[in-house]
Amino acid sequence: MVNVLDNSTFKIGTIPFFQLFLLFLLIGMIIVVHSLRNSVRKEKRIRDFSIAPDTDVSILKYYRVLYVKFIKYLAFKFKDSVLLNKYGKYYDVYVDVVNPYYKKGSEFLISEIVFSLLWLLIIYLAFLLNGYFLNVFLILLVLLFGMLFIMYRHYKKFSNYRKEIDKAFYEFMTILLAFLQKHSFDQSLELLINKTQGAVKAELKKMQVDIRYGLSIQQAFIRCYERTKIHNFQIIANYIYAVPNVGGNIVDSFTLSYNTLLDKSKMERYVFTRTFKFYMFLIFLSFIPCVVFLCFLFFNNDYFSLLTSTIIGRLIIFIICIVYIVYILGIRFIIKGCVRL
Amino acid sequence: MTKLKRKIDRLGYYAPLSYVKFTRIRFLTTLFLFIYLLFIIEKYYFYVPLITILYYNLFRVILVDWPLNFYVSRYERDSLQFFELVSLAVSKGMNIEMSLESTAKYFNCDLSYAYIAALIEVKFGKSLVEAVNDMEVPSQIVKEALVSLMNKDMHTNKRMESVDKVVLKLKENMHREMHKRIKLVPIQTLLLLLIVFVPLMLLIVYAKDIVMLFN
Repeated sequence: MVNVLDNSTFKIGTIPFFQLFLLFLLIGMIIVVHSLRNSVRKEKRIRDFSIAPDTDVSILKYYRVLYVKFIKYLAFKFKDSVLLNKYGKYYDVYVDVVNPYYKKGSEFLISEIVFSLLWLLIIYLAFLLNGYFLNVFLILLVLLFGMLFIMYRHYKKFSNYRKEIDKAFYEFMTILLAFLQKHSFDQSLELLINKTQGAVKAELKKMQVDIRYGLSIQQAFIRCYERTKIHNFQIIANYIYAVPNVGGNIVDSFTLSYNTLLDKSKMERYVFTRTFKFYMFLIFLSFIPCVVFLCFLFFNNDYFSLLTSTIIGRLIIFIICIVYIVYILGIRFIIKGCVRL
Repeated sequence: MTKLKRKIDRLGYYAPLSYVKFTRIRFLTTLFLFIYLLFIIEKYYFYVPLITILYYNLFRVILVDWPLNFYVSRYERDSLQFFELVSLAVSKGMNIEMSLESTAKYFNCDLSYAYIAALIEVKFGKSLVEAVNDMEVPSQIVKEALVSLMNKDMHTNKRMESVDKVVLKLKENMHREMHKRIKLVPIQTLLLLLIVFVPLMLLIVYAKDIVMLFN
């Protein structure tokens, strides 16, 4: 980073020029917002005596839709690229779950790249205001952090959706079995959709669309598994295929799958209750290196100056990062190894 | 046949390396590691043979033992579902031979593939009991369960009880494995903390001193 604050110079291309430019931009934004507020205040006076328009779009939604249109335009331009389509397939799972605007996986990829570039822009301007230029190394770091942030956000929304279905799986299987004793599968699906809400309802609606299009019940469950990656759906699909050929009917297949999934969920819950405190202990300890690092910096700003200036210091930073990653992978290994039932 | 070859045969299709490749790669890599470490480490020669022995054993553990344990647990879980289908077929009136054949045809599982291979041997002249005894199954419990079905009560009205016994045995086995894994967790946490967390904290706290040592 280079500090180029110089009070005497005032030429084009130096830092004070950029700072003035940004100042004028800020003033312009304040004027625009003030004018918008005035217009809203005037509209409030007439609102009770007028009819609401058909397209009642707020200002932020308008700009959000513009952003979405820009990304779809980019996706249309790059629709023939092999790389985008190859890595966009991994994001096809997010389509109806994470964001209602994007209908393809490649659009999610492009939105992540654009988000990271905007992230870089904001941070670059923030550094410019204080008089610092950024290196290539720091620019790459900032882009990486932007990508990681938005990827984590998308993944977290999807995993919350999956966890909802996992929690409600046992309940909706009992209700489905109860309906199947008297009704057919189509009727029981419709009754279930009226009873449930949230993620399970959305998933069952998609299953209903598949069945009414003409697919078999087994294929509907397999498509559910491909969308959500929950193993229970695959178990049910295997039973639906095997049981009628062995000598039973569809109710027998659902009862068998219900019994196996019940046992599995009971065992997982038992394991979780017995081993929960160890996981919490490990996850709590994973925050301590960061806390210690920040405390040291708080009390003495130059404590870690040797690490950045020498080669051995950078090696030690590298080793610390690797050991930290090994620790987190070890936690994951312990948790995964015990719940695999 | 050595122990290692038996383990790799049990893995079958899911083995990362064959026996011959495994032994050759292990031998060559330990040799090169030994020589390379001798060149690098200038003061503490005592640790080089220890590291090579560790690597020699870790090579086997990571590539054969752990995959085998995961595979056997998955195999037993799938075979439980297989035998539940068999019990359903038997409750609808089929005998054990036909129920095993139909479940093996329509339920995709490694046990079913092995059973179909045994049925092909029956076509060429073997009896069913011989073919089942000669089947290559990675877990001992599943093989004992299958063999116990081939008894004198196969064609009588008591076949339902024998199938229920098999299902109970496998469920008890899964409970036992669950308890084993619960017992492993505190040991694994302790090892993780000692080997990974404590050096991490020491590195962060004494980073300055280490840098000054080398300079």
